[in-house]
Amino acid sequence: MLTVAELNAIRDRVRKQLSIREPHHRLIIGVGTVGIAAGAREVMVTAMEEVGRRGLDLVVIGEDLAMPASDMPVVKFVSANGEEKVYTKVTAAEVCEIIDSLADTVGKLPGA
Amino acid sequence: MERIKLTIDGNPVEVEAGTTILEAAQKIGVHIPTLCYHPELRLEGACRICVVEVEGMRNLVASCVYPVANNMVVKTNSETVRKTRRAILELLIANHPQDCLVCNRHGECELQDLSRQLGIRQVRFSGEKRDLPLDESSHSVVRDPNKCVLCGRCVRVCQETQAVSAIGMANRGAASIVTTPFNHGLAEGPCVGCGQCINVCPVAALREKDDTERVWDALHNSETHVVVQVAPAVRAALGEEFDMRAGSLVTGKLVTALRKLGFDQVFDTQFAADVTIMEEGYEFISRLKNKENLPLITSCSPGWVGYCERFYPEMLPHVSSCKSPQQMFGALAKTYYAEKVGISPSRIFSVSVMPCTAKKTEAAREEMQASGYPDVDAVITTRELANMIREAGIDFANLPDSEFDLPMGMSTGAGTIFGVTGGVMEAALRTVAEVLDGKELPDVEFQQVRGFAGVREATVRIAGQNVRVAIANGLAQASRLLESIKAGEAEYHFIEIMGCPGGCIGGGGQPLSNDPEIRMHRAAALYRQDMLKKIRKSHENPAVKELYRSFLGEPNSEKALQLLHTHYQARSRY
Amino acid sequence: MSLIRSHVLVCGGTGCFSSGCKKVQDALQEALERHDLANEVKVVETGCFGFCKMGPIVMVYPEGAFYCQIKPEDAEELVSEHLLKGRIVERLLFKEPVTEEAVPLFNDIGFYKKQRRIALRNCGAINPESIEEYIAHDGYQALARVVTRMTPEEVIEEVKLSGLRGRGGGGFPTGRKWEFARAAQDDVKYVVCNADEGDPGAFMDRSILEGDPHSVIEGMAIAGYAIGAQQGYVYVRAEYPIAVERLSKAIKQARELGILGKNIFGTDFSFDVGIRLGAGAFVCGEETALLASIEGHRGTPRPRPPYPATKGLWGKPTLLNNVETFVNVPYILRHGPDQFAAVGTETSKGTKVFALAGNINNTGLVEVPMGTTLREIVYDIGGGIPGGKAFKACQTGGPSGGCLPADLLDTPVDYDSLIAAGSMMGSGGLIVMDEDNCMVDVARFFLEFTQEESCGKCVPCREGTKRMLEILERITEGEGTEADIDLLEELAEVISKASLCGLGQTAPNPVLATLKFFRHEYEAHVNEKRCPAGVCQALLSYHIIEAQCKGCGLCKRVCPVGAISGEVRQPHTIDKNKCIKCGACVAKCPFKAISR
Repeated sequence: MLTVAELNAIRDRVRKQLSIREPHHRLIIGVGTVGIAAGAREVMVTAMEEVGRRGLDLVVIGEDLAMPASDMPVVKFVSANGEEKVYTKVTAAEVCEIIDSLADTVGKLPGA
Repeated sequence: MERIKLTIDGNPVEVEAGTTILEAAQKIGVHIPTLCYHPELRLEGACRICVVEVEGMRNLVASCVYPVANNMVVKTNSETVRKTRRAILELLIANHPQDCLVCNRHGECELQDLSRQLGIRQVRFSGEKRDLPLDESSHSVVRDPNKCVLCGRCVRVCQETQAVSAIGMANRGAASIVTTPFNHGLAEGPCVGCGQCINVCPVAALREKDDTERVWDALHNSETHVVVQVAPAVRAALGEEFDMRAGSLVTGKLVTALRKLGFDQVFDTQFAADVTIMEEGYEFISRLKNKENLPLITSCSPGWVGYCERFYPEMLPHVSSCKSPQQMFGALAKTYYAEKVGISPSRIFSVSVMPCTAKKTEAAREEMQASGYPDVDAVITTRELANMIREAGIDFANLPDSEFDLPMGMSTGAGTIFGVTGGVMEAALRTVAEVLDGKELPDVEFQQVRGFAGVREATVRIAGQNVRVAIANGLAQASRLLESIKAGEAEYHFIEIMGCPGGCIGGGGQPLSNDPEIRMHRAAALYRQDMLKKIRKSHENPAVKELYRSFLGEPNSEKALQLLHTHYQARSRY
Repeated sequence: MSLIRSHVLVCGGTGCFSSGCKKVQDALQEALERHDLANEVKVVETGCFGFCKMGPIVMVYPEGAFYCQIKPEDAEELVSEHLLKGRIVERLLFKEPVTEEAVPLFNDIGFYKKQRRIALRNCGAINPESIEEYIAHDGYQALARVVTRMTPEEVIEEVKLSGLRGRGGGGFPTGRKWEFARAAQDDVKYVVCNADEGDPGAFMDRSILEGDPHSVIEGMAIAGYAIGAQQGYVYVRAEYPIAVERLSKAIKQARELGILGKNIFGTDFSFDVGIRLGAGAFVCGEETALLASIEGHRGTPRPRPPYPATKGLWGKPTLLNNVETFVNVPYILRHGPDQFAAVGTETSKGTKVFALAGNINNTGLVEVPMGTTLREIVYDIGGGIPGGKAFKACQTGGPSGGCLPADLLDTPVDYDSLIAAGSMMGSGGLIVMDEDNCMVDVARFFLEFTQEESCGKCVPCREGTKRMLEILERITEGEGTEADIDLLEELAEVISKASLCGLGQTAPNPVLATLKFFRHEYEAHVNEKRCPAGVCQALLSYHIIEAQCKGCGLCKRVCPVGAISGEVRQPHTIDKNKCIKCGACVAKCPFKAISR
């Protein structure tokens, strides 16, 4: 037998995993050829780990952002209401700080 | 019970809730034509001939299945109803051979009747017709799928009334047919030849195997000595074929007609029925004494024997080893009678007139040759005999009466009631009781075993002992009874089982009728005949006594066992 | 901690399965492993996205990029470009049929834009083999609410208020049906889901079972609670192996989790669901035939009354609804009847799923609000007719429906408008026909289907449809007469008025509708021995229009039997005795100089 509380617990737990299918806030990492050469992959993996660790309602997306090569790696935050913030020459360590600064804006996933 | 008020064709009607429109209409004399409907079968609502208009409904409804409702307004003969009904009938006729002139059921066909009734003069639909082979594999029943109107009455009677399911619907749409398991032919399947399907078939898609030509040939052959026996149920029904009232007893006319047809000796199966009581009665007494293979179950009905061999082989040791009266008669005709008149059995042609189609299959069983020749050479049904009488131009209804020939035409009232469910039991009890008690019965009538309920049971006090008996008629009822025995819910000493509802009077070879009461009329005729008989107990039949004195010795003597008893075998259903 | 940043949804519906989705799925997985992305990107098999013509379909989240007609060879590019470098692969995107413009996002595609997905809400969006994904999409919330907080009467009241009507064809108000089944007095009752989808071309029930089986189970359980049944059966055709497999898995998962079984959510309510396979006889979609089939009898209908609600499966009160009806139920009980009733028209609430097929650019499953016009479905969602051909008719309701002509394109699709127009909703088949379709031939096609699928029990349907088909064949073969048309009409009337079940009662509809709207085509066949659409072989007579023929000789070269002769730059001629009417010359002629 399953209780209603148990049902809700499953719902909340799995909903987190599925949030990428309905993203609210997005953190876009510039992963074009130049971006990857400048270390964007490491930034992205770190960002995903950090977002996952903190249970934030933020989806990390890789995209080929058209930006000057000198600014790479680039990170762009797009909030649910379309507000944008761009960060340039981001390192793996810096991306954690960026995420920390956004934490209040995006909030946590339900049940997290 | 709730009463329902409705209007049919402008007339107010009041009936019980649950009544169908068809039944309500019949009550006020409104005749709605039907085809797939049969008063004794599960409702199907398939042919749509009986459609009527119900105010407020978009489509027509089948009156045979549609229940009445309060304030319902029914029209049974509106323009739409008339046109629809005619079109449906035309559609049926369009896929029918339309060979009425040479059809077995000419004049007795419900499709023909409907066409006449609705005044169909032209069939506007043409196209492909079925072209399927006849199934003549069975000794009893012939199937002609090309004439079939797919009403399903045969399928229902075979499944519901007889629990055999030898035929069923197969395929879809226009390819639908009534067929046998694996399309193998009736003889290869579970069919027991009871012929109930023929009785409910509205057309000639099912009919008995016609053996009249073989009988004519024998009659025309001067070298052959043709003897005929007539089963009890025939005399209670044959009159119907000649527009006489149901329940007319035509024994005397029947004998006259058979003589006119040219039979050399006209005998009575009832004589053999009395012999059967002697054999089976003593068999029962012996089993009762030795307490072996009880209950004893009767073996007169070949439909039942065939059913037991296919569906209840484990019960075969309970079935009496006695041949049926038909076969006992045949065996005696070619031994006892042959000896008596000094005619070689090879020259004797033994014909039986039976209410039954399964008897045709029984006569063909290869072990049924006591004299070295078939006990019975040809079996014709009541209907076939009527055809012969008509062909010979005999004015049956106005024939004078005459008597059966002796000695094998002498019989008792016990032999007469063999033709109705419970009759064999009653006849046996009359003899068994007197033999065991050693004194005359105050009353020969055992009312407790009479009636038409599917399964009946009674306890009879004989020689200080309670004898438990049961009677079943119709194979589904037999199955019910046997299941209750197998489940240990009931225990009996003696059981009578008849394959057909009502016993032989309701046999598959009897005149056609959809009237559920027909069997009661026929039964009443047989009980009347029993009452009129001077001798009503088999063991008092002087001709039977003479048979034992001069030929057989005692009941169940070695000679009797050799001539009058048989054996059975489990048979595969498919 | 989960590192998954992207879900690649691969459609695993029957349509995409046939076009090779399994191989695509494997190729994607291999490519991800090659690029060391298997830990970040998850491949998920889903149910049907509806756009079957474009299969196999792949959706990439979080972007929501919609890729179509993906081949295993495309996997490498998809992974290295999109999933690694974040570049959407334009060549693999869907292109709008008329503008040929590539559309990256699923929601922007014309085919999906006008759709409103209630019944198909989870199809293509979740992994149908995961009860957890269903639960994450609020699955079983409605059931939980119903059994713990509502009385059966309240549940029925909400279904009634929603205005939901049976989606299987008849359009009977669902709430009232439930009320009848509730009112029947018996200890044992049954809920039966009709998944014997039989209309040729319709596959919404299959898609729902494949894409969202738990919604069906949830809808049935709610119905069970409402009417007082403890056992449900899904009668599904054995030709739907994926649907059967997913449904079996879903039932197993629901039992394991305790959502099916005894004391659901700690209440007194117990319910279980079993599967019964049908062998795909069309008539077994008729409720009494379906019940007979479940009971192990020949699948033939029986007369009603008694209705299944009072005397159904094994003589017990039985509620029958079809798949699409049941999936709407959890939505109604979760979001409230008002939200459901806000969609649709006055008498037809909610949405309807259609299987769009025929001569139309975008074929597949579409779900639209009731009241959407045929025009919107054909042109906005369906993308119009291929090759710029003229629209001729729209067949709705499958073989039991009718064909509506161009001037009825603005008919809103709802139960009553379609019937008023001369067709019906049916289970939602929608077949588009263009100028090249012969309406007599179309009627013949549908009748061939129904007469073959007639169970043969009642005379009007068994004998009548056969005769109607024979008449139609005569007409298409040029042997019809004026009297044949009258006979067709009379037979149609008799069959629809007197047949035992819905199959027969509706079988003549395609003929009646084509006679109503396209009688001139029948008359051309019969009187002029001419098939206006050039379909009926026996009536075709090819000849070259002298004035238009430039004598290019293309037709002469393409003719397989050498029936065409003529000098260069001179009008050619066709030898009618040699011509086999194959149509190759017509297709080849650049000057439209050949008529038939």
